[in-house]
Amino acid sequence: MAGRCGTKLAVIFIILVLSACAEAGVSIYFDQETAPVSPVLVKGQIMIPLGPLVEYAGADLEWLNEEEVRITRGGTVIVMRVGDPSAEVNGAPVSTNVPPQEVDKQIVFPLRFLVNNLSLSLEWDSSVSALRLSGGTGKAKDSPKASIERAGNGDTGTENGEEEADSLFEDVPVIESVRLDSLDGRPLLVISSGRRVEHRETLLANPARLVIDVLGVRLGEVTDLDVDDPVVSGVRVSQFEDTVVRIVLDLSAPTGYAVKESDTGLSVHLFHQVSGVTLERLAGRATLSVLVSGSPRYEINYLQSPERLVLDVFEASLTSAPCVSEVDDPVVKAVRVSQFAPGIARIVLDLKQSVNYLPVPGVLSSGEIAVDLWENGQPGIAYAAEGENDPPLPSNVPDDIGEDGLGIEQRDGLLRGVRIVLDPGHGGVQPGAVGPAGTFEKDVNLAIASMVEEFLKVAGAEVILTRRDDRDVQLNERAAVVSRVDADLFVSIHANAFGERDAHGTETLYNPVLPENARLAAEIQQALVSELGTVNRGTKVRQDLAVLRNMHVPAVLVEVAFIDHPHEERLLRDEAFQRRAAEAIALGIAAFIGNSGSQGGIE
Amino acid sequence: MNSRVRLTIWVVCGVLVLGFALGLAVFERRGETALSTNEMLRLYFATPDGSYLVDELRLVPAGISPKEVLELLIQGPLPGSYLVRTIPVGTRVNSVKINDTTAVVDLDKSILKVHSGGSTGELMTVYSIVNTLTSFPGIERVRILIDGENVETLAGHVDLSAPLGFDKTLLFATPDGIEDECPPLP
Repeated sequence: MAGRCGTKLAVIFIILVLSACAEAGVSIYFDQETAPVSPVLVKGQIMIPLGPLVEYAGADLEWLNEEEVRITRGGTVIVMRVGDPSAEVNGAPVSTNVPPQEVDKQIVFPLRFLVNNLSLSLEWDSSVSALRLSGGTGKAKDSPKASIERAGNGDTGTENGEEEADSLFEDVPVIESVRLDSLDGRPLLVISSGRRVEHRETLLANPARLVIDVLGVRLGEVTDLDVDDPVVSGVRVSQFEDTVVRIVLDLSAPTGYAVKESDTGLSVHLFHQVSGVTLERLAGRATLSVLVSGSPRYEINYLQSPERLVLDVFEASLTSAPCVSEVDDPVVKAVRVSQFAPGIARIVLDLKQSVNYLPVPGVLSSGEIAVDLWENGQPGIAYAAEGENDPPLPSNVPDDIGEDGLGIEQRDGLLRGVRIVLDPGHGGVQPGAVGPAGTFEKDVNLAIASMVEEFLKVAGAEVILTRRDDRDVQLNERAAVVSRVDADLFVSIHANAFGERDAHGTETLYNPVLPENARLAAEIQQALVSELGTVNRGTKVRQDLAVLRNMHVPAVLVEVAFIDHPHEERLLRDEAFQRRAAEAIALGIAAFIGNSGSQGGIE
Repeated sequence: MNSRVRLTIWVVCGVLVLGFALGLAVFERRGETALSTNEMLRLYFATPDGSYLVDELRLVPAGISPKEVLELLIQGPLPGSYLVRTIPVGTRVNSVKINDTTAVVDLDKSILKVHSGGSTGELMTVYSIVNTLTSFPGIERVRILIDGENVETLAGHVDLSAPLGFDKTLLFATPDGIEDECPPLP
């Protein structure tokens, strides 16, 4: 809210306050607490006793004699004398218009003068019909709520000749009522002003609230609303500026809305909230439950390739961040929840197979949308015992045994005549990614590549490395090695990074320019995740990797694990892990060659 | 495409258009300022595992420049988003120049020092820029320079020697087809 007003606004403000004093009574708040003072009006000025204000401001008060007082706050020194309209601020004379004086046996001081010179702020809070001071540093003393003492004498004259100020408020619409209704279980705030009014709106977070400023209006006899609603937890109403009424809806979470203007005022429609999504498995069925406020309209669509079920909830807002949850279920792979568009909350189930589904009837009234799913072709049939339908677990093969039960040593001769280029990524001044413990990717890459070389040589391959020590080799030079030595295969070995700790696992990238690249990538990827037990991030098609550019032999880029993931960094530093990764890469290459049917002669 | 899906498309699109027409904005920005509701742009950020790019719809002032959009991208996703930033904090954009349908993005070289590296980190950085700028009307490809110079890569993987186009393969495979057939937003 505006802390300081211009001179004219200040004058208007004082006039407002005057009329409020005379008509309704006004109290003063120090921040949120009722101030233990009784303000009085003298010649249009609000006057208050000095003690509580000075204490609230955290200022020092010293009576120099019976007539003269000195107030110090920060670097400001104010000297005032009873009966003297000329005060001193830091030694300079300043007029107070109305001097400090005795009223009803206590000495009162001009409030506005003190507020301005003690660097406090003063605002009119019409919702509590009170003046609210802020900016104090001291602690206001507890006391019974003070009520205004009438100024009497009707002395409410304006000052400085600003009589026209009152006319500013003629013919301004008045907000007569603000009430909270419900429409389809959604909150609906109705603001009645008797005619069409303009507004502006802002949705804010932390805490969640919708701020509606109604423009060109004054506030009638309207107070804050106590409401009992899951979406709207409170409605606060105040005269924000001279002709701006601010209505704040406190929300349980940021929620979409629509504000509609009509000939009688405004209506604020709030969306339904989608506050939770669960997937449960019971008696052969998976049940998706979506917690909603009210009874929103929704739609379910079944989409194919890949199979998924999409539930759209209309005029609804997610109350949490969008998210993806991998689930352990025979038919559902993952549940994704997102705000698809303003007003459409979307829940997607990624499915492992095709399913039948049926919305569960009759639960919407209980604040939930539920959908049952079950395996296609087996309606109502209970699933086999848990685990039976699960995909096979990664095989816990011993370190030196491949998928066919043979270690690389048993593949003696398989790779005879095959010339393979291994490319340890980065090097020299290019460290690659750096782990949180300071591990350089270039060192890990070289260590693993050297071990792959050992394994491949055992199997009879001829192996060339693009670097054997810590040096920077240009990317095109690495690729050129393949042509120069007339190699049959190229494998670039890397460790991955993303900068976010959530990223971990193994992936293999390839350029689909040669069709067999996909198979080489798949063989290596499969061997690595089986051997290492890392998260399988899959093989990825990339046509833009510089080192695989213009490669005319089967070629892939392996990202063994994430070096910027603390756990995987430890693994990548571990020689045993490096060796297992190396053997898996060698086994993947061997499987590719072995299944090519053109041993030693890949074209 | 069956009629059911087609119907869905029109329903979804209809609700979208209606929604924007009514000015139903649930968008917000850091701090207390609301955006003026002029234009809708997609800013691409990464999923926390770096597997996908996901667009965040933003209402931006009309006439926002590609450079300003890039600076929004560098600021990262909105508070509360599950998405994560794709460009290191503090990365400076020297300029974005439009050459026919190609945006030429010139980044300060400081990004080379602070980038996480990794093919995943590099792909997310490069394609969050490329996908975001190519969703700008009239921009089809993006060329990335460092301090005005051609560079082979940012961190040793992704070839930057030629302009790059929008990469669909990095997108989260969600509303497939549905979004593609929507009429352009008003």
